[in-house]
Amino acid sequence: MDLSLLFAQFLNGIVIGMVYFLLAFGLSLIFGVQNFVNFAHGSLFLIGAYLGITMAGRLGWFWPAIVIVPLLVGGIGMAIEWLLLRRLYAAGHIYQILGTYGLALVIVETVILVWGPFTQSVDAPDLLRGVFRIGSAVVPVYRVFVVAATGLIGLILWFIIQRSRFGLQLKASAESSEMSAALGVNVPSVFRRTFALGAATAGIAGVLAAPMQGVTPGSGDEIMGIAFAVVVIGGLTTISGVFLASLAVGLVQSIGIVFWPEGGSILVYVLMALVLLTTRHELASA
Amino acid sequence: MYKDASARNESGTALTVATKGIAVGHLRDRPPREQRTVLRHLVFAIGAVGALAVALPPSLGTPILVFSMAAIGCNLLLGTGGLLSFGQGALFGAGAYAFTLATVRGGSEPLVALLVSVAAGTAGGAFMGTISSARRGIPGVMLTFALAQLAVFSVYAFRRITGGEDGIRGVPSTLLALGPFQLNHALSTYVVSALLFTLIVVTAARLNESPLGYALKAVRDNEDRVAAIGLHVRQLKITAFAISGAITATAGAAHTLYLQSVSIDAVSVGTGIAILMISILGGSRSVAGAVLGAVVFTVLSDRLALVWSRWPMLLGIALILSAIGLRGGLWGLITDLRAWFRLRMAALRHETRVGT
Repeated sequence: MDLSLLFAQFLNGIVIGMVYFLLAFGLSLIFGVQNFVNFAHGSLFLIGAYLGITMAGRLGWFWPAIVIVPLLVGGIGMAIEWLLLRRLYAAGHIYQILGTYGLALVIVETVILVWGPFTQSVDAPDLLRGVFRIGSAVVPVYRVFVVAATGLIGLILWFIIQRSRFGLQLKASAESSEMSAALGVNVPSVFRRTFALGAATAGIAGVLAAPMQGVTPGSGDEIMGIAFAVVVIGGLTTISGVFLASLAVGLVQSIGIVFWPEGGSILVYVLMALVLLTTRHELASA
Repeated sequence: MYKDASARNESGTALTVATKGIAVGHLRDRPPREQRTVLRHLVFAIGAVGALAVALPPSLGTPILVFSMAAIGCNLLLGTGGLLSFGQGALFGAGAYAFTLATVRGGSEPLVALLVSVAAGTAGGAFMGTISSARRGIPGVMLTFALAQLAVFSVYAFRRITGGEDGIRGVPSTLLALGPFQLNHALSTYVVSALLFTLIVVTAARLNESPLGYALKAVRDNEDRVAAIGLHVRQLKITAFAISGAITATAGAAHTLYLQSVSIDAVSVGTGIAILMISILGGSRSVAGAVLGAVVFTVLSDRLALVWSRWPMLLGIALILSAIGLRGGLWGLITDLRAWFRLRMAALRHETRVGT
C-alpha cells in the first residue's frame, strides 16, 4: 500500500470532515432546539456554494463572500422559516420531512434556473493558491485554510451557544419552550434566529467547499445524506460530538475509497446503520 | 392534531356501520363489509384499466398502472401503518433486477420470473422492516434511507452481476394472444400490468379491512397503546414492510417487462421518492388516491417535461402544500369536497322543507 496516498487521503478526510461539520452543526442545532427535521438543509448549502462561486469567481470577491454569503443565506433561512417552516412545527416529523423535501426541490430547480444545470467551479483566491509539502505528500494551501477557518467558525459558534444571551435563550427554549415563553423569552423569534444561524453555517460551508470540489445542482442532496449520517452517528449532545463524528465520517469515506473505490459512501451508511442499531441517544427517543 | 381527527373519523364510521347494522334489520342480509370492499375495488380497478385504455396510449397507461401499484405498496406503509420509507426504490429495484436476472441470465419463463421478483421483494421488504423497525420515529426513517443508499451502491459495487450503470438489456417481450388476435408488445404489457394491477388493488383494499390492516392503523395512531394491548408492534411493522415489498417488486417487474431492460434508475433513491410523492399527492390513505396520484404524476411529467424542463418545481410546491394543509392529498380533497357538498345539499333540503 502506497503510504503517501494513504496520508494524502487522511488529510483529505479531515478537510471533508470540516465541511460535514459545518453542515451537520446546523442540522443538529435545528433538530435539537426546534425538534424539526430539515431536509432542505442541503439546498441552503447549495445556495451558499453558488452565491460564493458568483461572488468569488465573477466578481473576484472571495474574502467579502466569506462574510456576505452566510449573512445572505441566513437571511434566506429566516425568510423561509417565517413563511413556511413555522407552519410545520406542530405537524409531526413525517410532514416536516415531506414539506422540507418539497422546499428542497423548489430551491434546486430555482438554482438550475439561475445558474444552469452544469458543474461550476471557482479557483481559490491568489493568497491561498499553491501547496505545502510534507515529506512526499502535497497539501494544497487552500485545504489548510479550510481547516483553520472551520476551527475559527467552530469557536465562534461555541461562543454564541455557550456564552451569549441568545445562546442561553436558545438552550432554554430547547429545554422547554413553554417555560421559556412564560419567563418572557420570545420563543418564535429564538426559533427564527436559530434557523438563521443553522442556515448561515450551511451557507459558509458552501462557500468554503466550492473551490475544492465544484458544485452541481445535485451536490446539496448528496452532501445532505452524509450530514444526516454524521448527525445520527454523533448524536445531538454537544458541538464536540458533532465535530468528532464529522471527522470520523470524513476519514472513513476518504480512506475507504483507497481500499474500495466504489464503496467509500457505503461505509458511511453502514457505519450509520450500525450506530443507529447499537446505541441509544437523543435521536432514538425522538 | 390531524392524527386524532382522522382516528375519530374512522372509528366514527365504524360506529355508524355497527349501529346501522343493529338498528336496521335488513342490513344483516347485505354481504359483509369486507366483501363489499372487494367488489367495489374490483369494479374500480376494471373501470380504471378500461378508462386508461380508452383515454391514453399504452405508453402512458402502462407506467400509470406500474406506479399505481408501487404507490399502493407505499400507501400500505405510509397511509395505513404511518411508516415513512425512503427505501421503496430499493424494493422496486429488487423486483426489477430479480425479473431481469431470472429471464436474461436464468432463461426462465415470465411467470416464474414474476414469482422470483415477488420473493425477492418480500425478502427485501422483510429485511428492511427488520432493520428499520429496530428504532422508532426518525431513526427508523433514516435507517430506510441508509438501506436505500446501500442498495444503490451495491448495484454499482457488484457490476458483474448487475451491469453497473449500464444495466441489463434484452428482457424478452411476452406476447399475448387474445383468441385469434396477436397483441403487440405495448398492448401485451398493458394487459399483463392491468391483471397485476387489479389483483393488487383488490388485495390491498381487502388488507386494509383485515385485522392486520386495523392493527397497522392502530400502530400508526398510537404505537404505545398497541403494545399495551398485547400486539407485537415490530412484527406488525415487519409484516407491513414484507407485503409492501411484494407489491412494490411486482410493480418493478412489470416496469421491466414494459421497458425490456433494467437500469440503475430502477433502484435509485429518486425512484423511491417519486413513489412517495405519488402516494402523498394522491392521498396515502386510500387505494384510489394512489391511482389518482399516479395518473396526475405520470401525465404531468410526460406533458410538462416537454414544455417546461423545470417542472419538478411544481411537484415541490405541491408537496409543501400537502404538508401544510392538504394532508389527505388529492383524493382527500375530493372526499372532503364531496362531504361538504352533501352537507350543503342536506342543509338546502332542510331549508326547503322548513320553507314549505
